Amino acid sequence: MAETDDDWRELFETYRFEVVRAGFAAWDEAAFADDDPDEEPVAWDDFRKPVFIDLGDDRPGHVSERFERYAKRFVKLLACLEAQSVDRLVRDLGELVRTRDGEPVATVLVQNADGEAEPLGIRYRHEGLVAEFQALNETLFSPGDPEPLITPVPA
Amino acid sequence: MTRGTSTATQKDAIQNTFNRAFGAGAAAALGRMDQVDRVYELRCLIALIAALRTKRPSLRFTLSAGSGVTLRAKGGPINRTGNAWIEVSDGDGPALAEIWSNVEFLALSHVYQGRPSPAGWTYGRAHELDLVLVTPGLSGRPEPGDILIGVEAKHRPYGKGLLKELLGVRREMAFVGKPAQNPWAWWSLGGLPATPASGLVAWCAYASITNYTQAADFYGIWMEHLPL
Repeated sequence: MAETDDDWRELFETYRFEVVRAGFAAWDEAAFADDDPDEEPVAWDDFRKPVFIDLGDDRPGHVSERFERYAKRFVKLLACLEAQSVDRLVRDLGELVRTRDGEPVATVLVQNADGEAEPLGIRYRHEGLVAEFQALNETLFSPGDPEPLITPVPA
Repeated sequence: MTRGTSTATQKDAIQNTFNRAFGAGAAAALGRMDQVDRVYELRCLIALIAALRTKRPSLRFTLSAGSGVTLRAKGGPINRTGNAWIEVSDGDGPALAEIWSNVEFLALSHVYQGRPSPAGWTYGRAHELDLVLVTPGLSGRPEPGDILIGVEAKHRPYGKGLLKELLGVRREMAFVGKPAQNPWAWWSLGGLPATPASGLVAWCAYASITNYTQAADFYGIWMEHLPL
């Protein structure tokens, strides 16, 4: 486990860079800025690498706490995008919306900017991906209270 | 193990995990955030329909054509020939309203200056809402008076920037006015302080939205934490 704030800062930068490279730049910007509402979003250099101008708090341990909150949120995001989560939402929609023939709506597609329809959600490269990110977090941070990945939706 | 080695090992673990998950190429990443937004829009669509049905249990929701709902990644006008919509009726009665995704409405400032509907880039003349409940039978970009409820769906931590965006959209939907009834606005008992009396809903997957609700009642906005 990292020991100094500089170590944590380096790991946090690496993690954020990978989040952005994976296509979640907008989420990253909001997740980072949200941790301190009065802080301006992080600046970016020409290489799309996060430049930590000011983490807003010199208290020892602040960087690691902030990194941990960020990483846990990212795992929750991935869990929500799993095929099973999307399928559950489609089933919920089918309970409420019917076709002209009276059948439950069974599919939800996304029409991309080119007008082409594609499946909703992210089909990950392999199963167990979310668990793998959870395991990564466990190697990075001290074990704490387990958090539910998905908040149950009220019936 | 030295401190430097430990940090380097953990950096490798981070990079390897991301590479296994998403690959090293950037091309596949394009549009991934769009998918996040669309999944959350589906969650909000379900919440919108459930809220409308709770307020009026006899409402029926029917897809206009086909067997699947299509969420548009890019906002634009209502296109009745190219996209399906959800028709809202009371039992077997005629359509009372329609639900569309990612529709641009004409800004109040544009409409009140008496200018024609814009072609091509709209810039500040129209604004997108993630979901709209509108009066039935419309084509093109609805005017503010056509909107019954607009929905903003945010699957990212809520911050000052999103609040400013929301208030800007509200400014271009309605004037602040004396309370007027909107029978669709489930959160409004005494009427919405808006002219026209459209409702605006902001749902966010993150609880931080609850820190920003001070102005909501004043503008007739329903701001709520809606977990995915």
